[in-house]
Amino acid sequence: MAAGLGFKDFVTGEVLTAADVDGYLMQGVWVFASAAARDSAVTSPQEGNFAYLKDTNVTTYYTGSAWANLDTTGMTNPMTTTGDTIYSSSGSTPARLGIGSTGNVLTVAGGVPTWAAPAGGGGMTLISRTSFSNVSSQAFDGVFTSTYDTYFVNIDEIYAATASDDLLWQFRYAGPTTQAANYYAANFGYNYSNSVSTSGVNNANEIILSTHTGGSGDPGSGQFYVNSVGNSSQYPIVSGLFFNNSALVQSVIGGEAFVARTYTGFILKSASTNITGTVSIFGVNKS
Amino acid sequence: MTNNQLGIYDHTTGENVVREMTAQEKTQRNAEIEAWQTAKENAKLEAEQLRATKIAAYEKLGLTEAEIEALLPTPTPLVKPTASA
Repeated sequence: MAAGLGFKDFVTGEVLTAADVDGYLMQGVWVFASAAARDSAVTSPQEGNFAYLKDTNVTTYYTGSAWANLDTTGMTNPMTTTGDTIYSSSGSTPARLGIGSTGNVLTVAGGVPTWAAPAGGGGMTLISRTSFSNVSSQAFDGVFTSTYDTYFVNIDEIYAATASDDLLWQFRYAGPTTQAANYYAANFGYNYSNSVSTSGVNNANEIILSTHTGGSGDPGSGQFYVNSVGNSSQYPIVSGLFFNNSALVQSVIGGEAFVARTYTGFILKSASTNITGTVSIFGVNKS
Repeated sequence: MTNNQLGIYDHTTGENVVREMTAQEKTQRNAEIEAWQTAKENAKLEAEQLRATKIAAYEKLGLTEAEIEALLPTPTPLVKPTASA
């Protein structure tokens, strides 16, 4: 059998010779009894020729310099455990990478992938997520420390027994003590009917986060950053946003307690009734 | 009014404890509620007085009732629209 001659585009009327048949048409996957039979028949193999060997059930192809087996080895699955992955170790050998620990990220060490705890740098760390139900007030103590300079307090949701009650914030210090005076704050609200409202807190007992806390059917939600707490005696600041879902008012709020202390927490309450909700507190990583 | 239950999450223990307020805490909370109600009423009164003063000034300028209403709309309670089905 002739070796492949390459590719040819036959035209109308062209005579198909035996050489053409052998050199072009016979260039599928040839079937031979063995490699010896193949080598005997194909004395001048061309790169890209294919031959199937019946004795070993292997498909071979010619690389241009030698016959090679096509996918004869496959890959032995090295994985053993749920969550395992595979990477190429030296010599392209498949290697198992066992599942990492919760929160790990994939990184590279020594030229191969490995799971490791995420390095610091940006991002936030969850300090606590607390749900509370039908309480007169809810305190969060020991959440502000010297570990962080900035804290993010997400009021996932909150509502009061009386939806139109103000939602109030006070700082806490020395564990269980509430700072109950000397607050100054500004609140700017904009509602769905294009009305603007503003309210100031001038040397009051608390900061008003919203003039509506929200009801059980339409609780409010807020996002606040807290600074100047936990590290040393400072004037603590809370600023952020609150969406009053019962009256559809978006508020921008900022305020401080004008008494320098090392504040370690805060307390939420409505103006006159009980509150229910969930609050998540994060520390903003320093580096 | 409140049920005098105080929720305290303590990060050093990781626990959220709900307990009855002490007598001192109840007194403090009631004082806050009373102060808030007083402040609300005072704010409402001040707003009403300010509105009356403005209306009187507009009337002196000879504006009609309709013109004053256009400049100083009567406050209406904010009502959340009903969600569509």
